[in-house]
Amino acid sequence: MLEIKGISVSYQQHRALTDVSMVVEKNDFVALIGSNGAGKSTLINAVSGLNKIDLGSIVFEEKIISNLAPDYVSSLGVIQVPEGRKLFPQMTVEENLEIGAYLPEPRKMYSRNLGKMFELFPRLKERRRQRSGSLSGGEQQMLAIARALMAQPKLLMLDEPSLGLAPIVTLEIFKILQELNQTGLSILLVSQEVLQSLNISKRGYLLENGGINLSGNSSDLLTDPRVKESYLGL
Amino acid sequence: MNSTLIIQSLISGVMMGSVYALLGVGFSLTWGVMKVINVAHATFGLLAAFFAYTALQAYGVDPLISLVVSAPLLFLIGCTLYHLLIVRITSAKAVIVSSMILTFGIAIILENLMLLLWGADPRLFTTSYTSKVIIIGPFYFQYPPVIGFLMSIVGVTLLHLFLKKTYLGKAVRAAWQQPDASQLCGINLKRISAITFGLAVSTAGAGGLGMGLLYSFEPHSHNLWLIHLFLVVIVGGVGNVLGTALAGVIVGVITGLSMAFLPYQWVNLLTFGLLMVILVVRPQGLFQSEI
Repeated sequence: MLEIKGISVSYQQHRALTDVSMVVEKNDFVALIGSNGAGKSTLINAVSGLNKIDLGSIVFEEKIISNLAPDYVSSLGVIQVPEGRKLFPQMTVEENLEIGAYLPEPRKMYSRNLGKMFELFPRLKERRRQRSGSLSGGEQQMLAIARALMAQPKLLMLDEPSLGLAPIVTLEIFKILQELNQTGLSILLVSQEVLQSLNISKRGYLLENGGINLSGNSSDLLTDPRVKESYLGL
Repeated sequence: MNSTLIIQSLISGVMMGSVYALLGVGFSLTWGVMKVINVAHATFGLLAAFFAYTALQAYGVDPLISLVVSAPLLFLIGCTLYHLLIVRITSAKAVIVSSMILTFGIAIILENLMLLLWGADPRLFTTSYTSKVIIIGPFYFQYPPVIGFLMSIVGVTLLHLFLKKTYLGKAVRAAWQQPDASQLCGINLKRISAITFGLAVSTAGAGGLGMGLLYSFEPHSHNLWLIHLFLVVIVGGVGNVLGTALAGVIVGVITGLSMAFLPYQWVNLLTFGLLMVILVVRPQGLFQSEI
């Protein structure tokens, strides 16, 4: 479904990613793990079109999407939940969801999808008229995910959805992601929560210093000595 | 002191101020959300006033009717200008400064164009109703400020409703609250910027016409209007449409009252003294910024 083929990304003089390749299959659940500053966000922002790539290519459903405008990439069904949630703080919960369904196709399905989101996240329904800036961290993250789902993604990419959340809320959110994957949604999860993301995902990639150093089935990665030593503290 | 006179000047202040408000909201919008200080904002307003003047003189078209043509025209001009020029400075490090320099150039070109087309003489709208007066009890209201006031109510309300209630308006707000996230939702930032700029320039047309109804105007008038724009937007909070509108009314009331009771030379001193006090005490403006 998504193929990243040997891409390199730089910020001014600094090379952030070098020759990175990875694949997300249809109905896949891929975890991209690595420490802070390894280039995980750079990678998914490159897929979304927010970062330009110097070399290589990014292909989504047989279409080259590298270096295209972010709104165009989104219109193909590649939807990102950005790091830090980036909600529209002065707008209500419902308005945020409305903007999530901005693209023509999702807009037609707005009412139906809104009902679905309120089913999935009942707390958002209670707070539908509240400004998103006034929500708690966990609720904000749920809203960020719901906003992305309103766009009817084929591939959902999440950048650090557990950042700054209580462990129990993280658990709740990861459980929802697993359920979404079981209903057929392809997911690319970027996270520093190595243990939990490998637990819920099918496959994993380890990104270190701007390059993929390890990849494989999540269950295998969990027992890999390098992962155990550097990321699980075992 | 005569209470009728106080109320009378209060009401004319509100009416006058509402026209500042109408001229100011678009200026506030581009400054607040796009970080573009459009120094040519009032110049576009003046252009609409001249356009209406010619339509009235040559064809007998009522100034308000001419707005039906000039407002959409200004919207298109604004969009085009955005795509041709403004977009080039949006990636600059100091957008605010670059935008002032760029739009200053546009203002100079427009000013000279107006000098060329209409000459330097002051102009005044004279229609069948401009000298008419409404009398209610002890108060009298001249027609032009009343029309300006109504125009402002309609204009500001429409802009507010557009931003709060329509899908496109919400997209405009979303784009300026979180540019990156809005693109991830499928919003085309360039298109939204062009619409925002076009909309602002178009409201400038309405505001300029309102100013033309209140005062005589000539090709340099926009410079004085611009100073009032800065005043109104800084008092009201940059980017805050309703705050800017309220600030326009406040400034109008202060000007109106001081005109009634103070020697003329004190009026501007008082108004801009007030601006300085506000800049020191509440640099973010009187009202919380919200788009």
